[in-house]
Amino acid sequence: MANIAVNIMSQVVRLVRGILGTMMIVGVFLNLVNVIGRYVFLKPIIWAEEILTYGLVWVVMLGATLVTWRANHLKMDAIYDLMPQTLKRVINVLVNLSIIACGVFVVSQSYIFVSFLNRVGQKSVAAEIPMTFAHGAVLVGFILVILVVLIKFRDLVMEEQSIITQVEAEIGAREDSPLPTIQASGRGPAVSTTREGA
Amino acid sequence: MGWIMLITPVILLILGYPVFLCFLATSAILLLWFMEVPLTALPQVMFGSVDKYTLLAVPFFIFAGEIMGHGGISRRIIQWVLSMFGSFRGSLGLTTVGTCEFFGAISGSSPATVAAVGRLMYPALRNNGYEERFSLGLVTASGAIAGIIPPSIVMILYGASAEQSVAHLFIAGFFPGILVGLFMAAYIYWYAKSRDIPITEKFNGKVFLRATLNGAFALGTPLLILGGIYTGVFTPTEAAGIAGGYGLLVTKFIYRDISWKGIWDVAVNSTYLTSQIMIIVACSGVFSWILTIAGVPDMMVNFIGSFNLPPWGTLIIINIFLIIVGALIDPTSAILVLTPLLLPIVKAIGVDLIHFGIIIAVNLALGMFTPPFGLNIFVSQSLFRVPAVRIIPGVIPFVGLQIIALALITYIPQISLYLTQFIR
Repeated sequence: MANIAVNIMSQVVRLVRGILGTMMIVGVFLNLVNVIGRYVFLKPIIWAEEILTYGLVWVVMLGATLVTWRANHLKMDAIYDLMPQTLKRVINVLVNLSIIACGVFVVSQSYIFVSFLNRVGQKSVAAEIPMTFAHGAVLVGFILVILVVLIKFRDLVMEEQSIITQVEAEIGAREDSPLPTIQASGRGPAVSTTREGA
Repeated sequence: MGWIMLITPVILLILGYPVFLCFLATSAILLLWFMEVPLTALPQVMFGSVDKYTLLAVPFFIFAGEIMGHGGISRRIIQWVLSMFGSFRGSLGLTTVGTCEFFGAISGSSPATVAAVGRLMYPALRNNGYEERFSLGLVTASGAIAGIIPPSIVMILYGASAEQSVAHLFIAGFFPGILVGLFMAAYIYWYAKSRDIPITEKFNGKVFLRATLNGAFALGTPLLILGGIYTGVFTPTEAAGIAGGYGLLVTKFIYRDISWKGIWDVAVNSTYLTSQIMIIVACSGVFSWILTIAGVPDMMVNFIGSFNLPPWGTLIIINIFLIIVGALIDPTSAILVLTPLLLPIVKAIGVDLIHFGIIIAVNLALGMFTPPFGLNIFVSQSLFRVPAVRIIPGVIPFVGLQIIALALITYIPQISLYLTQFIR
């Protein structure tokens, strides 16, 4: 059972990391080409902005999978840190059940909406890609988030790292954030990096 | 009802719920049991909150900041600033602030600036007679300039949320960023004089020229980004993307400071950091939307209006409120939730919305190093391996200085708005 979980997560993490890194680099490149195209060849790529923005939605939703996986969501843990161990575990159970409940709600509504878009066959204005694809980001992202929470439930509650360690050994990645996560403009990661590093 | 809507996420936040979940869970409950709107609006509003071209600047600026912090770009900027200030008393302290102004003009993220600049400057400060307390306070506080000096991620989020021009916000942040830096510089000068810190070196034209040539590509970055935006050649989003591409090319092919594997890691990591911020954008977007259709912003306006305060009094209340919020929660969440609530209030008392964006940015920059929860304090803690209690005393004078600067920026709108007349 544990092995199946490690296998699934290794595939998911590897795939998501691959997609995310590629999208970032392609995004930088596409933006550059678009600006150069406009000024040098007087020919902007009309679909570039639209594709880049949909790409952003995909990056955010797929990235959320990895952030959930590393339990690195921004949070205010000043008071949480002062709580006794038992209370922490109770809250961890509540948090993860809430993620699953909200996730199921988002997925169900998103599924209804996406299948509606699919039926009417709506396409985007400039790039003319199916809107199913654009809005599908929310659907896919939250399905993966639920999957991650289910697989990691025990670790998340006990604040352990066992599955992460196994998966990372499997795919040979050190961590999703090779630099300490101090680059974010938020509170959570730096605090948790400190704790993990200590 | 309105108050319950506002208090629920706060309670969840205090319990240690992830920020995105505070908003998502509250929104889900409200939608399911208290609101009369189609439930399929939920995924649509989430999508719509992120699906904004302006917000695309966030991953691009994060990528640019990461890659430049990784390579030797920050080191070259320090050498250049030091070659300029070397003959002043307190030159290393001034260099720290000067470099933060410069690095902030590339990255737009305050913790990134503390990490990139502080890591290099802190040992130098200590070796040259600056006390631990002062040095820690200085590197922790000066990084906050990055949130005010353009480009700033906080301003991008405000622009998207308040529907204001990011280019205007960027130019409006210029003088306030300089002003905060000058306040710090004056304190550093006074400190260096009273502690008799030796002058490190005489100004040398040759050394300055060499540092300028050596750092030309690094120093060109802010010029490219801000020049491009202000002249209207590219949008802030395009400028962010160009900064990323430029940083990549310079770091890889000119300075040769990064491997292909390093670039790949930076790319993956940037999307990761983007997602940390933007999943909150998506979920707080839903929450703000519900607040708006439930009429909560109007309720707030009436509530504040019932005190019959003069406009300056309302601004004091808002500032105090923002300082407290900024010291407790991260700027991303603060700006996304508070903007829709505060906008109607400041509109009612006639504050310019660009000016208000700067007030929020300065407040939240202050919150970045205000004890006990300012994020930069934690960054310094992990960088220099010292407990927070040793960082906090050094930070306090800087908090005082920035509050004075904040008062000036709040009550003299021209500091922010003067430059905006020069761009379209």
